[in-house]
Amino acid sequence: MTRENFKIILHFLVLIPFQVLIANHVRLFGFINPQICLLFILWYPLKKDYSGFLITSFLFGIIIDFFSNSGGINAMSYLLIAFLKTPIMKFIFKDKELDLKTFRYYNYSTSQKMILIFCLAIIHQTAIYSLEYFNISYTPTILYKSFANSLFTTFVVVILITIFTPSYKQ
Amino acid sequence: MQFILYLIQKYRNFLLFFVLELIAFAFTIQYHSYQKSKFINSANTFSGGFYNNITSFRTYFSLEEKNKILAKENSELKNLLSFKKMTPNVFLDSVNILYKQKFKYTAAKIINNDFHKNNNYLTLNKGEKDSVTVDMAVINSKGIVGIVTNTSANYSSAISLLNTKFKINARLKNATFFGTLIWNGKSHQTAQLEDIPRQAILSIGDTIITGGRSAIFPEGIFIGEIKHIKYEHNRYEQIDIKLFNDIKNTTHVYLIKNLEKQEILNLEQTAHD
Repeated sequence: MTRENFKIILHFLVLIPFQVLIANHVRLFGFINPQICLLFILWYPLKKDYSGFLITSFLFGIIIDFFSNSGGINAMSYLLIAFLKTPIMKFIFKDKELDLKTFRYYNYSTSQKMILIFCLAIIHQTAIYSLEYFNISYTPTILYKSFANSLFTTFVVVILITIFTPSYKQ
Repeated sequence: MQFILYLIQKYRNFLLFFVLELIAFAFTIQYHSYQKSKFINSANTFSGGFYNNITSFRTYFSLEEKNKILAKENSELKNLLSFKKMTPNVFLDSVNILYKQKFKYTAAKIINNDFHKNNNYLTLNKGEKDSVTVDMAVINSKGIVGIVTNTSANYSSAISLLNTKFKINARLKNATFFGTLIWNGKSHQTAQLEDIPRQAILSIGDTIITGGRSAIFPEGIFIGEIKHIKYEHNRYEQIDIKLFNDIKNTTHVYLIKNLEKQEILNLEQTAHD
């Protein structure tokens, strides 16, 4: 097993229990809860096979669905942001030839990282709430909750990614 | 043919994404019809077992509080029993005079409780081994909690009262006007009563109980009291019910099996045919 595969499994084993046992019980203003599992998508090595990334993200989402009784909502949302991650990164980091093999978060500014995390969070949250409400008449509620949740998620995830990502070149 | 293979090769990641999204979407559609959400639910051994272990650890810290609640419930039941002995003409709905049991109660513990979403579910620590079946009612001493929707050998999941798909027959305690209890997804302390006939006279504080018109809940289980009435266009537009039960903090529940349910359903089926 390579070091990267080991890391992916470790993220699986740590992030899912953390999300379902702790993060899902955080209720700021009654509905805001951080989606810590976004870190799984952010930390997944870019140089790995893209189809493997999609399948792993789908499995990751479906396991959260098993714990949350939520059908395939999380699977759809995680798969969506996994699919969009690279194009969004290329757009935000203004790097059309983003070198996936040597990519490191510490090479980019905090504001760029925050925009990336917020973009992924808002897509993820809008997908989750849209699929959960499944009713067009709830659009204002969906948008309001998605936006509030994404802001808080961005705040928490930026802190965590700063703590757990080395700030020096290895 | 070669061109098709070339296209598949070129867009393989998009195709994989599309196929996986379709699978997830199929699960999501099933989720929106709660009777059909057989595959993705927390009643399986893996997630059920995980929640069970965590809950065993977590409840250890609230034993004293839970003991107090159970002792209070016990004293209420003893009072009810002594009342029954003193007045032989009064019998509980659940047991008839010939000791022919109509409802069977099974104690269970909630090992996972969602209350913040639009469609909330509960996971219980009793399953098929304890004779738990789909459509059993879930209640506690204060009122209704939910209905069992999926079972595995050791665990079951139930649709919570706090679920926008939850609907049960309810009525006023002091009058025989029936309606439907629903939850609009806004507050975990308030449910809504609809389809109440316009001639019904309602007032704030009236108690709402289960109607007993379905084979799931026995009649007379407490739900809540009327908190707000909106009467417009000569009909009841909205009736808010303040729930007696705080589902958010509920741990110990009872599962009710209607032993005559199949007989009722068979009879209804014959009547429809």
